[in-house]
Amino acid sequence: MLLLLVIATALTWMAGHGEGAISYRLANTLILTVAWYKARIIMRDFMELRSSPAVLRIGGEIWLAALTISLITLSGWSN
Amino acid sequence: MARQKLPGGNTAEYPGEPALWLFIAADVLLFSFLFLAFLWDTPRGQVGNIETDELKRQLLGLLNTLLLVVSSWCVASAINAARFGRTHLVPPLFSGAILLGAGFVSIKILEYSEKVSAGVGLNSGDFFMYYFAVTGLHLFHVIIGMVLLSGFALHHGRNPNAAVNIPLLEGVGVFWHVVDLLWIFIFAIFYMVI
Repeated sequence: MLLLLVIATALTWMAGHGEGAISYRLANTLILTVAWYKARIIMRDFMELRSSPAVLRIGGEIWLAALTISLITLSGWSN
Repeated sequence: MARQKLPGGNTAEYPGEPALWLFIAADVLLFSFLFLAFLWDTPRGQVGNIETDELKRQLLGLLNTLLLVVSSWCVASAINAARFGRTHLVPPLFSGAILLGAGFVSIKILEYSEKVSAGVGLNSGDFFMYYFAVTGLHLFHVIIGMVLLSGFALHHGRNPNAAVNIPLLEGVGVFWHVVDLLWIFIFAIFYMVI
């Protein structure tokens, strides 16, 4: 899990530095999608939501998805 | 489908206490609102809307992310060890987490002092208002977390045979993981998103 988190962090870096090749909208979407993935690992494995009651597990997934989608929308798709 | 119990013979179904999760939910919602407000209020797609050295700034943010991620792993490992009776691992693993947290705080202080000495502060426009408010609030959480971790590390370091209050230990762990989780979004939004 730690290795996955480190790799995902590196992916964030690469997404943010792909200048010229991709638009800022795509870069932002990629960065936030990686953030979603990393946050999900932390929630499910470190915070043990994977084996927690549904209200915590599903509540967490819904919050994370809603936040990520909202942030992606605001990061370049809403003007 | 039967609910799974936590490992180590613990009879609880989730780490920590209910009141803690209510607090976590409220805290996380507050930060979520701040994240959304920041992206709403500041323009996107403008390279160079920040006055300081961008690459160095992002590298520091990246380093901070790695520090917190590894420290979260230390805390998770410590709690797992405590559940299976290996309480002696709690002080060193918690100390590792605290050390990494101290690294995070040092980098934050470095960042802040660079900006302040360049004349940049809360009044330097929308970006910096949000930056200082959100990272400052987060830093406050980091320090609280470090104090809590220190308490446990000291207690179990001095009393190796003391009984472990597992739910309390888990609660501190959950808080620290939330600190890590929030930073992941702070890093994405304030350091990487254009």
